[in-house]
Amino acid sequence: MPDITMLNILEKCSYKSVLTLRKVCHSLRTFVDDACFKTDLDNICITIGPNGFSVTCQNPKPWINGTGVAKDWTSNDLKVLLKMVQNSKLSSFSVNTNPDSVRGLDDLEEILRNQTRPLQTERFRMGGSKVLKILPYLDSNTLKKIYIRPTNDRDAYQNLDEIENVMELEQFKHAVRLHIGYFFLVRADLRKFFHFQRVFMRLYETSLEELVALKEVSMLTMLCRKKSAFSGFRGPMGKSLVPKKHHDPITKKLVPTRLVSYIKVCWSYMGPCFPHLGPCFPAWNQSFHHGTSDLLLLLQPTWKTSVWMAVTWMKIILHNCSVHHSIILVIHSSAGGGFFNIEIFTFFKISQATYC
Amino acid sequence: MSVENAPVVDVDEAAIPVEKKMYYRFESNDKKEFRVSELAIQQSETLNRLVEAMGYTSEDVENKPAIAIENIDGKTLKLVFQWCEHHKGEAIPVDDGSVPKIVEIPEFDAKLMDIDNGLLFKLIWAADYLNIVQLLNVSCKKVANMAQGKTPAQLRRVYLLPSDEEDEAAKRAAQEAQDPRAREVEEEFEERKRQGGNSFF
Repeated sequence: MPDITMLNILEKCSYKSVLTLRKVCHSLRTFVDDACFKTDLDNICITIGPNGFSVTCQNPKPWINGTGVAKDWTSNDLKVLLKMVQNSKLSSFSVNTNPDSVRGLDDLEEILRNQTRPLQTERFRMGGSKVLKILPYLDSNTLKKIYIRPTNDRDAYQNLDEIENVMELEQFKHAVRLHIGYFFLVRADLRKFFHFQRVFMRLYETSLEELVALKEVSMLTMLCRKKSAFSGFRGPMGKSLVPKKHHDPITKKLVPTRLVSYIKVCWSYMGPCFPHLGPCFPAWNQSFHHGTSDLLLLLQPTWKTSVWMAVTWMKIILHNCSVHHSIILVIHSSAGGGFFNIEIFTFFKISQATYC
Repeated sequence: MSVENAPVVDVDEAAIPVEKKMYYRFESNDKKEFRVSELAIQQSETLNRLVEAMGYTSEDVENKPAIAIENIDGKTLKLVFQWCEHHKGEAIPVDDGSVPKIVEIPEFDAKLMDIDNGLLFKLIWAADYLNIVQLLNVSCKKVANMAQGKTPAQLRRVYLLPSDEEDEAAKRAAQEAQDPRAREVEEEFEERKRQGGNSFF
């Protein structure tokens, strides 16, 4: 059989079949290992455990073809799988690290470093802080979304290691979305995150200059607004979370959502509950959510409300809370519709000294 | 074999327009002759270029000898031309690098390829040689589907592949050609291959 035809067959085989074909004989194994072909693998999740790697694989139709699960894989097994996908483009690549299995992460880094080309994936999810072990070996042109979360979110806040080095990577600079788990504290300049369309993270401290810069970015975003400020808000099964009609925050009239042309800006306060503060926000759309330990107060002024006005509200809140409580300020500006869908979703902490 | 007795590929006469259509004559390596429409030939890049280069007129087609396809037998060529006639006029797929290549096997193709492994191997080989992209795609998909959910041992049986041990035994036998026992092993292996036909890999 000519090699091109062999490749044609391999490309049409499911990844499970290719892995089985490798075990048929030496010559086929050599061919599969040396060949450059595309697989149907779409999603790989690697969990580093004490006894090796647990790997979960899916192709684009997992509801039909099922999910492949392998446990206690050696680094050689993993090498075969990752080599197989180096010509394919994954939707998602996840790595869950284990603080007790540092060697496993080193092995994975070694495998990725020795790949002939960077792994192509649109989403990268990292469970753990050692992002630099994996992120540099992903294709920066393909990577769009980065998710980082701690391995254990029951502990107190942890520092995200080497964030400065991560921020220098092309992968970081080219990505459009960043989500850093709430229990990671990020110590970095807020302005270095402005290129993202959407950011979720918890900054340790921000300077006034950074906040002013953020305000400028937010205002620029507002200029790009289109008819609907809500497009892009999607819930499970792609169902829109936005009602067809809603009450305008200012006029209180029921208006069709499509005709609304304002940007939603949310300011969130995380701290102890202050029931007496409720009357302070009569004109604001308020909602309360119970978090793990704190109470979240969500305020939704219109885009016409200046950032500085919101800061005034923050001063009131800060004035009423004790020194030790931190404040999380959330700005969510969204302009949707047409070809524009620009969002900035930034969580950051304001030290009390800045505003009180 | 004369043109009159040639196994003509099924053509829907009613579908042929009034104006005269060109039909080319091809001959397999076992001297079987086929008449194939110009439109069907377009599915094969190799044959299409060949007939274009020859520049035959209708009279040439009738008067000159059939175009010989030296390395494909009549049984395989019949399948190939049946496929081409059925899919004539269809767009030829272009490899746009989409991952993965999604190939659906149509009902006609599935029936056409309901054949033994040996003939399927020859069909793939012919599709590759004649550069019939879609036929190659569906036939490779058929082979790929055969691997679905199989164990390595089952795959060896399906694709008629030797195991590593058998491979090594064959190599040893070749090296020790003088050794009568080694020759026996080799003969045994060859016999197995003969019984099974062609292997895919």
